[in-house]
Amino acid sequence: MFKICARTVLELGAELISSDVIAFYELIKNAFDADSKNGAEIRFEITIRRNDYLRIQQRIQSQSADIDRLKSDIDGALEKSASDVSLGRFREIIDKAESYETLASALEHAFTEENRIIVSDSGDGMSLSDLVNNYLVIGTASRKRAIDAALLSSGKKTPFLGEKGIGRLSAMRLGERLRVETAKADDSDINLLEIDWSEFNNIDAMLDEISVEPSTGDKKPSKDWSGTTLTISSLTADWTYKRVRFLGEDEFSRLTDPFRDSKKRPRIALYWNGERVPVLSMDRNLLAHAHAKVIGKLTTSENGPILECTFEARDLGFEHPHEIEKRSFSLPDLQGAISGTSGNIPMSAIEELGPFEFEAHWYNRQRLKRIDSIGDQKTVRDLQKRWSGILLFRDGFRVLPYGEDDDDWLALDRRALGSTGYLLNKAQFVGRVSISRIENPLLVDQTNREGLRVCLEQQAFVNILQFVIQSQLREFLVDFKRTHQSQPIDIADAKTDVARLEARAKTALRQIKRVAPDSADTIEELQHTFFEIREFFDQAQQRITEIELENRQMLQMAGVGLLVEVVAHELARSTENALASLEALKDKDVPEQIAGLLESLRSEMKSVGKRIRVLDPLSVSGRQRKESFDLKLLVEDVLSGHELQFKRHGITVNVSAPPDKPVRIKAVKGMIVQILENLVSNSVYWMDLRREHEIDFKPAVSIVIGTNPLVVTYEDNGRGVATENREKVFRAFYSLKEKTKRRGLGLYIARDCAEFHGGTLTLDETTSTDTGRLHRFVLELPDEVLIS
Amino acid sequence: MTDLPQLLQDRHIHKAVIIDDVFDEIPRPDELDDDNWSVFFDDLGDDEQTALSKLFPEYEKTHATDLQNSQPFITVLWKNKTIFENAGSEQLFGEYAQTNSTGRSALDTLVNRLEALGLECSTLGRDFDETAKDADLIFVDLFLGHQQSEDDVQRAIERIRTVVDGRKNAPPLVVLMSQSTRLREKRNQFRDEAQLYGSLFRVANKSELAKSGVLERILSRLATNYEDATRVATFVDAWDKGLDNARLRFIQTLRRLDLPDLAQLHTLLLEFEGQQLGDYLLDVSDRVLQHEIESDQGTIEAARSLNEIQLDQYPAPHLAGSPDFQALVHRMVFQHSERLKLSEGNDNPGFTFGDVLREKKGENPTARVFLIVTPSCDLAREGIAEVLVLPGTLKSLSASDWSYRASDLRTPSFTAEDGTTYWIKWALKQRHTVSYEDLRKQLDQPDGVSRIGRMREIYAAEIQQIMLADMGRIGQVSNPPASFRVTVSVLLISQDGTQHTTNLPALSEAICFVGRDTDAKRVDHLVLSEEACDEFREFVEQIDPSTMNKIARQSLAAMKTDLAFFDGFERGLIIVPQKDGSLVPEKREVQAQNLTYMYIVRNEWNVDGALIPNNQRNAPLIMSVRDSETDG
Repeated sequence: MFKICARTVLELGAELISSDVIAFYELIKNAFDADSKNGAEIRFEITIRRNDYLRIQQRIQSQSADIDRLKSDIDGALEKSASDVSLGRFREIIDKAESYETLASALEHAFTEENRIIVSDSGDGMSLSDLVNNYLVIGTASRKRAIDAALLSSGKKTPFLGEKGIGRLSAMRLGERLRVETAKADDSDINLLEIDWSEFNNIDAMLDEISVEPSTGDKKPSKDWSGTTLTISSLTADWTYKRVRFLGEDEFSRLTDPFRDSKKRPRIALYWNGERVPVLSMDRNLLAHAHAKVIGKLTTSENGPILECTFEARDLGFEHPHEIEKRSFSLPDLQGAISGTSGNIPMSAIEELGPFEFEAHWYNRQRLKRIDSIGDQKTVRDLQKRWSGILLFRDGFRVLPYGEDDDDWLALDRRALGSTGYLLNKAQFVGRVSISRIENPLLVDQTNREGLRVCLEQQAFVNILQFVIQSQLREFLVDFKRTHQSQPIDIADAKTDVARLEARAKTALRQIKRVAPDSADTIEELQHTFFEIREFFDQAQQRITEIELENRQMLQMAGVGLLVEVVAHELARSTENALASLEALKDKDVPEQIAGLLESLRSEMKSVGKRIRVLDPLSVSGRQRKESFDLKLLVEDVLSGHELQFKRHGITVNVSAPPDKPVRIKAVKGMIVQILENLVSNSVYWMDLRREHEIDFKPAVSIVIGTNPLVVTYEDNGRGVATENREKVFRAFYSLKEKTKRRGLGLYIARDCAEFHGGTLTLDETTSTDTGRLHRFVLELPDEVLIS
Repeated sequence: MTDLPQLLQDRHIHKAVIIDDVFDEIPRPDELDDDNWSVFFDDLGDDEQTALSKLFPEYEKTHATDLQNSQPFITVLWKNKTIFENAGSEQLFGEYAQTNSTGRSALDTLVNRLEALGLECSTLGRDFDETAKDADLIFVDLFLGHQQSEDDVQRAIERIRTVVDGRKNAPPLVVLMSQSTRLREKRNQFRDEAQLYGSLFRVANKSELAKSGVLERILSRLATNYEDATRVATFVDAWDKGLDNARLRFIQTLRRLDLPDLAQLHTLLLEFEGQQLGDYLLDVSDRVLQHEIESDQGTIEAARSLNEIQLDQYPAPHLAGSPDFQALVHRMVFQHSERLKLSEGNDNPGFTFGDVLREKKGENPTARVFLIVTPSCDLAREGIAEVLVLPGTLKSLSASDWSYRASDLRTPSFTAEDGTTYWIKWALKQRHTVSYEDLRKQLDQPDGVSRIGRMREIYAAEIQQIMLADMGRIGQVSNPPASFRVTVSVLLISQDGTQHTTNLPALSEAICFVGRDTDAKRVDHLVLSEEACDEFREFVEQIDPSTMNKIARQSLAAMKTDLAFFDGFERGLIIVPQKDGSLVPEKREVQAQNLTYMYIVRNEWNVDGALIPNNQRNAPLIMSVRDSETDG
């Protein structure tokens, strides 16, 4: 059987209740859990501030002045706002002291007696046995049982906000002494409990050696009275009016959901020496003046979870109509966007998450103006700053530290740092996310109140919110600006990085050399391919800087850059895969297998190498030079570059074209390649995703080249596109892929390539009978492109 | 002051209103504190919530923020505030009530005093009230609101403007009052935006108003001028209306000019004159509109009424900031610069009689300007090779430059596009011609000229006439200077301030030449014979300094070493004043000591031993110059 040192309680308290605000938060939750009619009242009765007390105590110790002088200093340091009774008692204690020694102890005594925080409620209260069986049991399971029962009975409302039974450690955080006065309605007397936490500090004492016994006190004030009053003294923090005011304005005001109607919020009454300190409520007019916003919810339906969002652009700093756009994402979309092909977050985590709601109001702080009902520009800006951050509330109560100044749980600042155009910093948002204990049972707090426990559901939750804000809201704003300001798309965001991929491949190659010493030739070849890719990429980048005046060209080159990156990525990945296989064969005498592996690596490398070489003219000259070529052959070339990839993913490709004769067209080859490459790489992603979730799924691509008119249709049987997104997929930065693969430029560039030739790239409106979604892309080129 | 009630009576000032937010009973949303609202809603118990739902049925479904901003809700709450004392209604409304009651007691005194003067007095809050519409005297708070914000000022302005708008020819007297130190700073804005007349408007600090005599003084001044100020108001109003009427009549005339008429105008006149149609029509319109304005009966009547004002009896204005008369002069003399655009076009510089061109050096304009004095018709017709211009200089304009002297050829005020005001001094003698082509080219060049204004014909013609008159003058041989015999004597000034004659016989025979300086002013030069110069110099050398006072001694010492001084005598450069003057050192370092060598007096009898004026005792000598009567 374990025995516990008394000190452990102190250690536990320090660990679990890491700040004063959390301590108050726990005490306030207890009051609400007790069903208090007048909410929670917190009274600071401060006769001398702690720092003054310590300063004077030190002067007494060092005997730096005579007794009378010190007494007058003490008097001068007393809080003028303290009650006359407290001041009187304080002075009386000090007056009696006649030596430094007696003055020191008198001051300590007076400080302990006349400085206190009283937390009271008019709730159910506790009986003597409640004190013994629950209050004095750290980690008591009394509330947890009730919550578990509610979870099982599929109720909607949580019976308690706190369930861990550690709230009583909060009092310890605030002061060394605690006096509990409590009674239930059917008690006749007040039940008392006094704890001196300093007793737990005895190094040798075991927990059970410290006696803490409840007792019965005076009669209750009235027969029906119930409630609890905690008086905390020997305070550990330096409380001042300013600090308490800050608690009311910036901390307590956000403990309960400020988006709810403030006249219905749970009451927290804060007092400083009898004077009421307001707990601010949020002025809703601030929200009405947000420049843009997104409101949404995740719900569950028969077909799985649905994410519904409403985006709104109110005032983006240029002339535009008030725009509202609704978007909804069903299971396949969420699979792609959150779960993806990396499998980091399984779909089950999204399904288990449970419904939640959110709203994020965005402000361009520079452009915040005077709001009549609020005040001048500065007042409005200050107000926005005060409420900024995206807060998390469970059943209307704050989950700390989400939304605090130094918290960036949605990684908005990290993301904003690297982007141009619309900055979506956390400080620009006023927002909230609402979850519930019963509906989101897997989103639970860490015991130390420092956020949600890290688990797959928590990751899915954060990922969904990031998808909505970082990706969807951003894209909505960018696209809106482009439409109404005919602004060119700033592709600076599409930063690509081949150097990192090259480094990865090099490391793998070095290791391959060690594992298979005979592979020198293959490795050299691989290295050369990488040099080539690198050079290619650098050329594309170089062109971008040279031609920045011409937006279309820049876009093309960005497209080239992206494709090169995809290729480099594939090559790095193949090399790493080859290395892994080689390592598995290490110490086995299987030279044929090793040779075979190296050979397949070489052919894969050749295959992907082709894909960039076809872009050659575009990247070398940076110009769109039209040339005559056979479209059939080009399609075959592009596909052959993917041959091994298709094989790996089990994808069958069926190309049908007019037999026997070539389809000669005059076009910019590199652009047609971009179109095809983008279609292929999208469909590989989405088919792959489907394959992961459906064992029997057989991925297939069908390409039809028609000449009358000149049309290429590209169809796959992947996840497909929701009908409502038929146009959106062509928007810049619109992407429903998972976070690491989200760029949203491929189809935008592809369409631009089609339009350059006077053609169109569209998503056909025919829905698949299998998925009910869209799968067929149609590239239509004008007749003059065709060479008859 | 005893006859103030009578004065008010005589001026028909009977009804006064005081507009101040303290007369509003119920607070407005922006006058209640957000903090107090938070506490109020937090502390509402179940019973109180039920009570509120009954009193204000929208309560339950309205968000707290919206309730805070709802006047009907606040009104309900105010009327039932006693019910909600537990929830802190007292704290919510306390400050407002306190401010109101303090403010009211001060204004109650004002009401009493106005009533004591025989005025009928009412008090109004912020909402528009018909009572103010026919008030003769309005006291209005600068800030109609507790926030003392710009909005509150605007509200006050709006209130007064509404009243003034309806009574343009009989506006009320307005006293703007406040406790705020910003009263002085805001008064001009208030006057202008509320469209008040200075003489019908006063500002007064509320606490000043309470002092004895202040209110009476303000009312007395306002009432004294009331009748005449009303005349001014009537004139402005009549002008305003007259302008509208004239405009309507004028537009009708203009509308009748249809395209065929304009075509005829062009063919028969303008083509030949080389003038642009727009330019010409604008000229015509100016004159026709002026005619229409002159024909307006109301305007003429109001102007006649202005003549009755006894302007010489007016005290200094209460507020500074009268219209800028220089700006009026500029507008009278020059066309608006926008108008110049009409002349340009089709590679035609459109030079016109009265154009003022300014010389440029690269980006920067110089002070040199030219007035085109060739008649417009000559400029317009093809073939003029040379343009006659009168050069001038832009001079900065200050009070000392303002002049009505007829002798100067000047344009009294010109406001450049950057707002700087100048006057232009025309150099009558430097008129010359410039090649038309050169001038045209210069218009586009960095080191050329730019057109900065165009004088109205009558003003340009005036200058042209003076120039032509000067050109037509017949030059005469100038008269040589005249010379007259004078007698010069020198007197020593002794320490006790008495003068003493000396014997310098050679000085008795001297000549005074009378001529003119560059400004044609008379100048007399004293010319001594060589002998006299020597005699004078030797005399100075021998003077005993101990007989004179300290400063004179210093002067003497300086004079003895000042060769230029004696040189002046020899060269006949000593200027003799018409009456009195002095000779002082010319060297700068000696000048600084403030020394005087000698005083020169003309045609005065100097008696030996006589006392001289105190202010002349700092010099060692007096030189007395007497015109010889025999020469007269």
